[in-house]
Amino acid sequence: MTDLFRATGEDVAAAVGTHRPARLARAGPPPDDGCAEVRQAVVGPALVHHCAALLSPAERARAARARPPARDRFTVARGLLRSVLGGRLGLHPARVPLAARCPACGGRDHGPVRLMADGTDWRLSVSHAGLLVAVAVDYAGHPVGVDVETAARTADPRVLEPRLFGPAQRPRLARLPPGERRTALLTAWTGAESYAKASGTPLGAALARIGATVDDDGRVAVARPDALGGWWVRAVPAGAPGHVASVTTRDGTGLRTD
Amino acid sequence: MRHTREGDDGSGTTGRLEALVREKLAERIGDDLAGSIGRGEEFHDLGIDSLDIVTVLAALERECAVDRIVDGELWDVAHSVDALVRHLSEHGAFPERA
Repeated sequence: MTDLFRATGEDVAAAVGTHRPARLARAGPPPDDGCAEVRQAVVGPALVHHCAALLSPAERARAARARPPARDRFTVARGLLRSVLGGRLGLHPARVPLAARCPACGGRDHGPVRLMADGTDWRLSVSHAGLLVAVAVDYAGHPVGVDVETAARTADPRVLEPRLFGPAQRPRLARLPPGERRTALLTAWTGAESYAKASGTPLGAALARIGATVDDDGRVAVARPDALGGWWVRAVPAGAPGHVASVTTRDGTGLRTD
Repeated sequence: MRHTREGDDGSGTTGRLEALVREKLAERIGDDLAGSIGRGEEFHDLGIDSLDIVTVLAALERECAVDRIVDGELWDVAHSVDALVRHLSEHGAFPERA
């Protein structure tokens, strides 16, 4: 039984263009170096099929209520999360005890997902957009947030830029080629989203605090950890072309990525 | 002051603002969903995510000459069609008058 999804460039093409599953790898026990980890997978028909068999009845019911693109992303995200956690716990992915609970209404059919295994205080975060899903796990019990986006969703960068970058940054953004400009915008956006998820800050406040800057080469940096109350926002390589990913952990937390 | 509230019967400014909100929503999420959302339905409950909502709000602010809201108030004004219409009618001008 393979437990962990790990997509390479070839796997991306395979998952998108054929029905061959993405390559899978086995995970070991939780890292003891205090690192969090981020894993990504690319949504494709074979992977959706594989992951659907790992879901709980409640997760299958939730997936069935969603429309097809969202349904596939949800299915792969939960399958990936179950595989990562199952590998670390030594459990079959289908037996990993997960539960969702909405902090607003208390509903158990939506909201953030949590691991219910005794003796663990692992924190989880899940994100999906376009063809990419990502899960983040902090094994030290610190909150973690991950967010991914696809460049296809920023048709007009000028609409969002004022919410993410100060006036001094915008001339530099305007000089970037269109693709790099979209990437810069989404890097700041996913940084704000991941910070909001990890810290519990409302997204509107997160957007105001993120203080993103961009250099002449399009590299984006967000506010220093001390400006964000000890949170560390990092862009990580996205697991699929045309996508952007960011992770927020407590300052000083190491990060393992695919 | 740019207040333009004229009533809630759907035939005055409120009705036209609702049509504008649905038009901008449709550009992000498609005509079917934008047209079928109940006025009070929560966007998040329908699977409309944060990037969609912020993009729609920013487009409406530009079109209606609304000063950008304080970011901390984002979800107070942008969680449903009703909330957006109320925000625009209280703080903006309908495009024809902007």
